[in-house]
Amino acid sequence: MKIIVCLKEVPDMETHFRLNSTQTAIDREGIVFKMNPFDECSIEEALKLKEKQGGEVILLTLGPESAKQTIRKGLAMGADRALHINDAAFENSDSLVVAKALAKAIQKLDADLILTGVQSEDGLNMQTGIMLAEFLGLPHASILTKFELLEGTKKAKVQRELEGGFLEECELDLPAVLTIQTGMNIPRYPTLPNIMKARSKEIKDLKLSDLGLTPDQVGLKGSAVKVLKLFVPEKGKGAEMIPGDEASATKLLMKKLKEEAKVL
Amino acid sequence: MMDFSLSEEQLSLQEVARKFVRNEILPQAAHYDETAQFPKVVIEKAFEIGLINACIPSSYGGSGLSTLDSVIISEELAAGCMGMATSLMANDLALYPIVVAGTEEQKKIFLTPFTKAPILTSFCLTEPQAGSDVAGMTTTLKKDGNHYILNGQKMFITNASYASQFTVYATLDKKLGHKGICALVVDAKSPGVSIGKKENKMGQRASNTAAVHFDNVKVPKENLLGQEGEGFKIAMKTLDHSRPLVAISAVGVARAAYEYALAYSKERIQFGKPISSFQAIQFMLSEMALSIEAGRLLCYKASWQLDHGIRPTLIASYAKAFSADMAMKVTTDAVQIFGGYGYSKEYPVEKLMRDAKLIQIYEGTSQIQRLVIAKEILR
Repeated sequence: MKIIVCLKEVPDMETHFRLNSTQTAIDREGIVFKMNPFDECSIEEALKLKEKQGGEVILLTLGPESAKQTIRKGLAMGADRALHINDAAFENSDSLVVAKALAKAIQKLDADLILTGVQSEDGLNMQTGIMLAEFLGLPHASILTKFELLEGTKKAKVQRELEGGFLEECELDLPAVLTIQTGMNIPRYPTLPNIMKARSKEIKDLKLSDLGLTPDQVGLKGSAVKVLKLFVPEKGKGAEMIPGDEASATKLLMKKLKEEAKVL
Repeated sequence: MMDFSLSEEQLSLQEVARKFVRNEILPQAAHYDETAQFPKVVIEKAFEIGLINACIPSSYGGSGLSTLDSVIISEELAAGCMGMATSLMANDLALYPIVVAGTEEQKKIFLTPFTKAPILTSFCLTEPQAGSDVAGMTTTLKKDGNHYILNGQKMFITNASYASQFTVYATLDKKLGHKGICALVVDAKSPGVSIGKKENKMGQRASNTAAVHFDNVKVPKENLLGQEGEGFKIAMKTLDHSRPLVAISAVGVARAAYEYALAYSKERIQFGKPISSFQAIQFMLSEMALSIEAGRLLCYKASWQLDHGIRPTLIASYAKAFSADMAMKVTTDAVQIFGGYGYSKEYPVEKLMRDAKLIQIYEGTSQIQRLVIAKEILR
C-alpha cells in the first residue's frame, strides 16, 4: 500500500508572535516551528496501516528549506521517504495554490491513500485537503475519527465527526483523500535509532518546473485569497469575576448562566 | 574550532526525551516517590523508544549514541524524576564494561538480549565494607576447572531486585589489592544468587536499591571480562564513561528546581510585590542559573573528550563534583524560595532536594572526586 501524508510545519503556539511590517503575515524571525499536530496524527494512522498492510509511507511538504527539520521528525517517526516542494515562488500562496501543487506532486505517485490533517494549527482554514481531493478527482472524507480498510476490497469504512456531536459512518472507494482529526490516535514517539537514521532517508526537493506550474499560477499572483491585514483583536470587556467559596460561587454561576446568559 | 550548538539529531533526541518526561514521568513522579514502587511501566515505555541501553553499539542492535547524545537525554530524564532516571540509566552502567572489555562472542551473548526486551541488569561493585575503597572488596573468586566460584555480598545495587544479569567485581586474591580484581557477568538465575531487602531510601525512591548475595555461585570462565586482574581497570573505565552522565543528571535536577523557583518567585506576592523583585531572591536565582550553566558545560566537555578518545578523568571528576554539590545547593535554595510551602510535599521542590543528596554520594562521593582531581593535578 502506498500512502501519502501531507505534512505542514507550523509555528509553536507557545512562541511569542509578531506581525511583519506590512501586517500581512507573521514575522518568522525568532519563531520556533513544529509539526502540525493534525498531520502528526495522519502520520501515525499511515504508519499503523503500513504495519498491518505493508507498503510505503511518503511524506509530502510544501514549505521553505527550514521545514526539512519537521520532515525529518516525520521520517524519525517511521515514514520511508519524503518529497519537499521547496521553491521561493510559493511564498504567500493560499490554500488553493498549495492544494494544486500538492496534487501535481501526488499525480505521478500512483498512491492508494492520501492523508492530511483536518487543518493546520496556524491557518485553521480546513481547505487544503478537500481541494486536493478535487484537483485529484478522488473521493474524500473529512474530519475522520476512525478508519478501517475493508479486507479484500478497494474500499474503506470511515467515521466522521459532524456538528452537534453527531458521528457519521461512510464507505468509500480507494484511492481517496482523507483528512484526519486529532484524538483519532496517539502519535508515537520517534525511537532513538530512528532519529539517528532519519538523516539517511531520502528527501527529494521539487521545484516549480518539476510540477509543471508557472510562476503566475503560484504565490500571491496565483492565489484566490489575499490577506489584507492581520491584527491583534481588541481586548473585549465584560468579563466578570464571581466571588465567594466554591459552593456559593457555583450556585451564582449557575444562576447567571440560566437567567442572564440563557445558555442553560 | 569551538561549536556550542547541538546537532539537529541531538535537538530531536532532546525533544523526544522532554516529551517522554512530560507525558510519562512527571505525572507519575510524586506517586512513585511516595510509594517507592518500581516504575516498571515507565521503564518498558522508555525501552520501546530506545531511551535505555544507549551505550549498546548499533552493530549489536543498540542505538549507538555518543556520550554527548546520552548526556543530553539524561539531563531531561533527571529533570523529570531523578529516581526513575537512576533506574533508567542503570543498564548502561552494567553493560558498558561488556562494551569496552567484552569479546565479540561475549557482546553478542550479553548485550543483544537487552535490545530485544525491556530486561534489566545491575552493576555490582560496592560492598558493605568497601564503598570508596574499591580495592578493599571481599567478594572472592576461586578457580574451579572451567568455572569460577563466586562468594560475597554487594550493597546498594541499583535495580537488583529486577535484574536478570549482573556485572560483578570480585577478587582472586585480596593480597593483590586492585590487581586481583576481576569483572564477570553473572546470570541472576544462577543457583546461589539471592537478593536482599530493598533499601528504604531518603530520596530517589522510585529506583530500586538492594543487596545481592553470592553463595558458592558457579560462573563459567567464558563470563570473565578481559583478563584476570583487569577488573579494576574496567571498572574505572566504566566510571569515567558514566561520570558525565551522573553529573548531568545533577544538572537536570538543579534545572528542575530552578525552573520551579523562578516561576514561583514571580507569582508569590509579599509586601505587595512578587518576591522576584527582591534582591535577596534575585541573587539566589542568578546563582542557580549561572551554576547550572557551568555544570552543564563541564559535563558537555567531559563527554566531548570521551567521544574524541581523550582521557576524560580530570574533567569528568570536575563535572561530577561540581554538579552534584551544585544540585544540592540549588535544590536547597529552591526550597528556601518556596519557604514553608517548599518544605511541604504538596510542592515538588523538597523531593528534588532529597533526590539531589544521593548524587553527592553515589558513583564516587564528592570527596573521592576531589581526591581524583588532586591526583590528576599533582602528577
